[in-house]
Amino acid sequence: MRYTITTLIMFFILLFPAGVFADQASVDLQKANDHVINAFQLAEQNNLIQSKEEYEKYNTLWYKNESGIKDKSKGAYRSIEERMGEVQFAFAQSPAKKVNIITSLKALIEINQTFISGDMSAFKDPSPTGSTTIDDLVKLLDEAKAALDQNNVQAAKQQIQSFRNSWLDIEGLVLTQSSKVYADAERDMVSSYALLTSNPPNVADAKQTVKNMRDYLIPLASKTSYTIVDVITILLREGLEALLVIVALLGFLNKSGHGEKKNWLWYGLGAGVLVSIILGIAVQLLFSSGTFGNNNFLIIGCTGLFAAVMLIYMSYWLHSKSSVVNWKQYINNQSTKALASGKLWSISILAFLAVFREGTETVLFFIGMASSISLTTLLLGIVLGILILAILAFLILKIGLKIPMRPFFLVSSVLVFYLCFKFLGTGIHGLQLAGVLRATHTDLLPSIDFFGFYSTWENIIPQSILLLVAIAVVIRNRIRDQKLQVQMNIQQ
Amino acid sequence: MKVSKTLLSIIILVFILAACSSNSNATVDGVKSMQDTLVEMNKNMDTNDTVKVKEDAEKLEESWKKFEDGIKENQPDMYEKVEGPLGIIQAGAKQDTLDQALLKDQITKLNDTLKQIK
Repeated sequence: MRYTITTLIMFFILLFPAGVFADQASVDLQKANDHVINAFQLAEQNNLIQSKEEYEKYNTLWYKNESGIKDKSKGAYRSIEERMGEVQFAFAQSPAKKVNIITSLKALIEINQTFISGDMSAFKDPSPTGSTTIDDLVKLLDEAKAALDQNNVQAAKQQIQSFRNSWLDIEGLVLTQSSKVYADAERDMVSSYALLTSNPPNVADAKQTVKNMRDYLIPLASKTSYTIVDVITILLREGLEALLVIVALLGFLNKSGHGEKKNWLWYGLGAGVLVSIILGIAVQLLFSSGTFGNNNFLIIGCTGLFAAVMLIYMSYWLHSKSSVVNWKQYINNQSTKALASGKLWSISILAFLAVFREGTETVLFFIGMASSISLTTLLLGIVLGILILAILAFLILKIGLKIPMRPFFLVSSVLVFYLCFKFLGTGIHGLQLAGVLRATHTDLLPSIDFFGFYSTWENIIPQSILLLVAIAVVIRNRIRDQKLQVQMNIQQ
Repeated sequence: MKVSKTLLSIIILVFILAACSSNSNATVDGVKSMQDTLVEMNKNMDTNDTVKVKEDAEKLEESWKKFEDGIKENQPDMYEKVEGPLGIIQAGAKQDTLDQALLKDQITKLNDTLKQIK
């Protein structure tokens, strides 16, 4: 029996049109709208003062209930408020014009009734799904630009209006990435709309404004991030260098018959790795976007360029032949001294220094990546890198594997150059997004995230220079090697 | 020596970047932005630049959207005092010929209300 009743109730519910179960927002607006109808009738009877009083009653009710209407449809809320503004303007005019008051009240009644009837298709809601992306906004601008190219002002106006509606969903995202782009977009979306709605519409200026908006929003849509491969590359390069020093120190200990005291060396090595990891995590936490919010891109910019400069410095000076020789000599001298004086703890310090020196450099590069990589990826990269290093260390120390130095340094130099190129590109891009640098887009070249390459002249020029300098250095070295070879042949 | 220099440069960088970041208050920023726009609007009214006035009205609306919910919740009387003149300014700016006296009056009203917002 109970089952039958429930089924019957369900059946009747399904039979009724949805409108019968009107929501609270519609009911509230219907009540308030009665006052507007009264105001309209009074205005028609030339009773403007009482008409205004009736309208004020509507106004009071509106403020009470507007949240419900806004929740149901932001588009409807805006449209109704716009009509209300027109009514208030008509009443505020001095002397008040009956025609204007009647026309504006009529328009308000109509729009209210559309809402009450539940027909929401008349209101353009700003992306109800809330899944607008910056790409969507750029697409709207492209459409607006295409419409303007064909002199279709009406269509362009609609696209800009849609842009403004969608903006509310995405503005937070834009603000966290670049306050400059945010402020510019806020200004330009308003001015492009005003240019198009002016009489006659200023198409040329509007087109330029839309183009500008597109130019500074595009970079936000594509955002370079670093991969686990980048993390491992750096760790391997730096780690292997440290490993070579450790191998040399071990050799010293064994040669001098202190092989059993190599624990001292492991302590130093362990401390070096630990301190470097702690420094790395601290840096990542400090530079994460959560900590810095609005200035995220300024951080990417500064740290990217800083890392690029550090890499160039490291590649061309620190690891130049003379410097490596000096460093090795220093290690040799110190270890001989340590062995001579019997203070084996200084072997620990040497191992620590060797690891910490490379570790600090690793951290510097991680700063360049930190704001564009998740902590998990960074840590995973570090763990994997250390694992590979451990295997290599095992192979070198226990099995006596010899690292082929030339290919190793050749491959790692190419990788370091790739990272340097990427750091430079990302750094400049970050500064562009932070508004420190201009972004002049060109369609001549595509943007390639993998290389941190963006199609703006501010990116293309410095990155091309870097590439050219690298090619020049490679060619110069090749020629010098060939000359040396020739000289050696002559001498032989 | 090299290590300590490197550490020092990291610390300096951290401090510089930390100084760059600051939190903003939506209401204070919003009121300030609206007041700035009102000043601009007043100037554009004097030169009878209808396009600019319309642009300013749109700007006012955009700024208000950002913090109106907060005002409605915490200072409901102020909310109504803003919505009134703001609606009139929006409608007035759309007219082909600007009603100078009315718009200027509403600009003053809105500005006075904005001053009272905490």
